[in-house]
Amino acid sequence: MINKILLVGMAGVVLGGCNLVTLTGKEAATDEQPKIEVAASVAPQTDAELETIPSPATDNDVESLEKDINDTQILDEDFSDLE
Amino acid sequence: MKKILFVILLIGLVTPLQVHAEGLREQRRELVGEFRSKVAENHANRLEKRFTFYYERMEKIIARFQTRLDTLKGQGKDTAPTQAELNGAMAQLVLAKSKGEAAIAAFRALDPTKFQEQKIERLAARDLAKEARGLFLETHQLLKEALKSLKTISKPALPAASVAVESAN
Repeated sequence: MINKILLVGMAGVVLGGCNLVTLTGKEAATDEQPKIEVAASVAPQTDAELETIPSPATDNDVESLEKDINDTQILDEDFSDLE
Repeated sequence: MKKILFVILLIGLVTPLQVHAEGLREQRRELVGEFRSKVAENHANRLEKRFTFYYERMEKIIARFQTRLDTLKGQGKDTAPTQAELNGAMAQLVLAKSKGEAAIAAFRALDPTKFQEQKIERLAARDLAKEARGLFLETHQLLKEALKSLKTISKPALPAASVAVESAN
């Protein structure tokens, strides 16, 4: 009787292990997907919005100063992903 | 007896799957943690780039503004009010830089493995960044006001006759 129980128990573990191997195999094929998502979440090195702001001049006349002050922009920030 | 065998078979089947599911949960937690850590890192990097850009740009404008003001002073113009406005803008810019650095440091100090638990810390970092941005905006506004003042004193002096006509009006 004990042998029978052990046999059935072993069979269960073997079958469960087989299922596990099958699942692991399927995951291996799709394993890269979440990692790609994480990698894609890294911010790019360039800031396109900043690059649209013209570089300041070097002249000290009022018109140049006025243009550079008016061209200056303080961009909006989005912190919604922190909440 | 059949029941016992069935239960044993079931336990044998389910136990490896349970173990595997726990492993998957752990892996998911790690991935979410990694994603969250990138969120804080992205904020720190973006803010560093932008705040440095604002500071350097406005510092250069203020330096040129000062040179212009010194020239006008040399011509005998009363530059004191404009100088006071420009000094105010510079002081605000220094404050903005300091607050910005504190915000960036706060984002970098967030522990990537404890993102969920650090809600208070990350919201504090966000608030610092908002304050710094507000100070940069105020600096910009002060510069605009100083510019108005500069334009007024830069106007060529009216001849004595024109002054008399303006006074009469």
